[in-house]
Amino acid sequence: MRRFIACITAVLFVLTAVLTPIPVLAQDAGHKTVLSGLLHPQRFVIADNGDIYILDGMVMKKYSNGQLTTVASLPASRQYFEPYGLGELEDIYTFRPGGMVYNNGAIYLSGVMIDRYLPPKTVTDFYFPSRVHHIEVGNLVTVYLKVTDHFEPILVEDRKPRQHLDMSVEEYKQLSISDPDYVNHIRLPRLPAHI
Amino acid sequence: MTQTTLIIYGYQDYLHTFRPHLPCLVKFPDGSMYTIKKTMVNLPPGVMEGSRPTDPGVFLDTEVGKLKDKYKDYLNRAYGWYIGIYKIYPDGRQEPIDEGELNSKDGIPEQAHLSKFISYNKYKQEYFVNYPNIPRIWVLPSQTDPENSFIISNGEFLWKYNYKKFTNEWLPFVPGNQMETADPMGTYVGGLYLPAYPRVTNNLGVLYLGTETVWRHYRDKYYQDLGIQLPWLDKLNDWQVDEYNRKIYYLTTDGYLKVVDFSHKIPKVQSQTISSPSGGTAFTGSTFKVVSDRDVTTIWGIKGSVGPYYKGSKLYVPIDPVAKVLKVQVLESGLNWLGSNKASLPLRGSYTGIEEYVTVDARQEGSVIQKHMAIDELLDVIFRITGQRYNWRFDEPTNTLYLEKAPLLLLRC
Repeated sequence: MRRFIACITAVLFVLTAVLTPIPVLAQDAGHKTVLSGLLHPQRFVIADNGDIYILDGMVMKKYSNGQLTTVASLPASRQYFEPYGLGELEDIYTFRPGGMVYNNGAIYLSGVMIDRYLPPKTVTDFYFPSRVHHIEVGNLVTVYLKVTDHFEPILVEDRKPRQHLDMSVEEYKQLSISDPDYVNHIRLPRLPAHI
Repeated sequence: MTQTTLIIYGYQDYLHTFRPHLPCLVKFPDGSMYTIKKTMVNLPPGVMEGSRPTDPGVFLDTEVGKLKDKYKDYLNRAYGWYIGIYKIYPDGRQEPIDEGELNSKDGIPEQAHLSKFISYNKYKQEYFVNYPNIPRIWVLPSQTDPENSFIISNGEFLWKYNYKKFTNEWLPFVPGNQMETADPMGTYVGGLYLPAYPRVTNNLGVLYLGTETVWRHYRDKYYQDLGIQLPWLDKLNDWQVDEYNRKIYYLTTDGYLKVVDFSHKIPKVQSQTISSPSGGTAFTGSTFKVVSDRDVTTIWGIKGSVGPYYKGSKLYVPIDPVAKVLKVQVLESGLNWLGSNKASLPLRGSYTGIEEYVTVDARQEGSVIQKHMAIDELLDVIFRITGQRYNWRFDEPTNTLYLEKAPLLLLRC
């Protein structure tokens, strides 16, 4: 009896394996590779003339007429970030892109960065004590970049803690939100210290 | 300039916690750029953001039924976010359009301020919480009211938001507003039409990455599954639409840029030259086709003398396939119109219920009877019923009628 059950089980297993249709990956049908070998592609956009700009890692590349060329580098554009206090390499590498569009010959990026000089706090997670966060919302900086032959911030916003702003709680309430803890605040560029 | 590889320091995964802060940037058809972002944050007393999972999707997914009740008041307080829609100028100026507070208590909105736009559905959030590098909230152009309204997507639902009157309209998928598709994929409608990762086009509407296939939202109303599968977010970094060439490009996480054609789903409307009219002879070479930018190619078995023909200087086309493609219902009045070769029949709008009586030209070949109208007159009737004008072109060699929606301004004339 035991042998019979084992035999039936084996037959059913084989039949199941044979009769189960193999899923066809429809997404592979008709899909063609244009380019390969990108390092860490994050965003791309198609220009009006058909050129394709790819944010590959921290480098903007252009794919045109079968050629892939580098047009701008984020680390090499550090000088444009210095007036905003984000010019160090470690600041640069915290950039994370949100959206990327092509507009009148230039590329525009939205994203966030971390300002390491805003005092980060090591806070134990409220619900998961094993997790420790080293950054908080106050360290986040919202950035909008313009890319031509270099990356350049055009708008940088802090999310400043309430107590860091010269605004009373009553003034906040007039903004129709009750007692906000963080408020966006445009960071104006400063002249580098050595000038 | 040297090529630089990404160096990972210690912040590679910080967006898992702060993803709601990642702003989108969208180029509208008129060339302007808009963003939607957090502008203020409310936190529970004594708790700093970053010290807990502040993403409600993460929270609800991981702790369903546990902490939700226990910390209900706490959560309601914690969701006090403020988002704002801004127009971004190339020189860095930003113009505030509107702001509103997000609150999880609001649920699916019916009418309210911008504040009603977020409602978290734990059954869908699982698609997003693991992919933090994509903005969640999107501001998108309205095709039917571009001067007063935006379309807002939070990755789950769509709203048409009039930012001048502060009213919004939920745009759900409901039976009747879907567009016919050649090969519909899947049956879970809510998941299929997930409005995630949108891509704006100038004329084709907004394309979204659904859970199974790419689909488009057209004229702020119509849902159409394009039946094109892309890698899901665990293997996809970005995707873009080349609407002129009807191609979708996408970047994979393993370093590939790939392309897939969708011209068989939304055909290109080609420029045609109408030849000199011939007297009443139908084009018998091939099967008559109607191609619309609103619908996929529809092929009808109309051949021989019942096909389109010129009569005088007017092109007469079969009514049924045109009405079918343009979603207008044709009801026959029951008159013996074949005997008189002229008759009236009501055209009833699918959506408005408006009726129009028209005179048709009937032709018969064998057992097939077709009712014809001059294309200009037929499109005038359809305009009166639906409020939408169409331009047409007829390609004689392929016996194909191309229909294209006229610009919005004509619609309001």
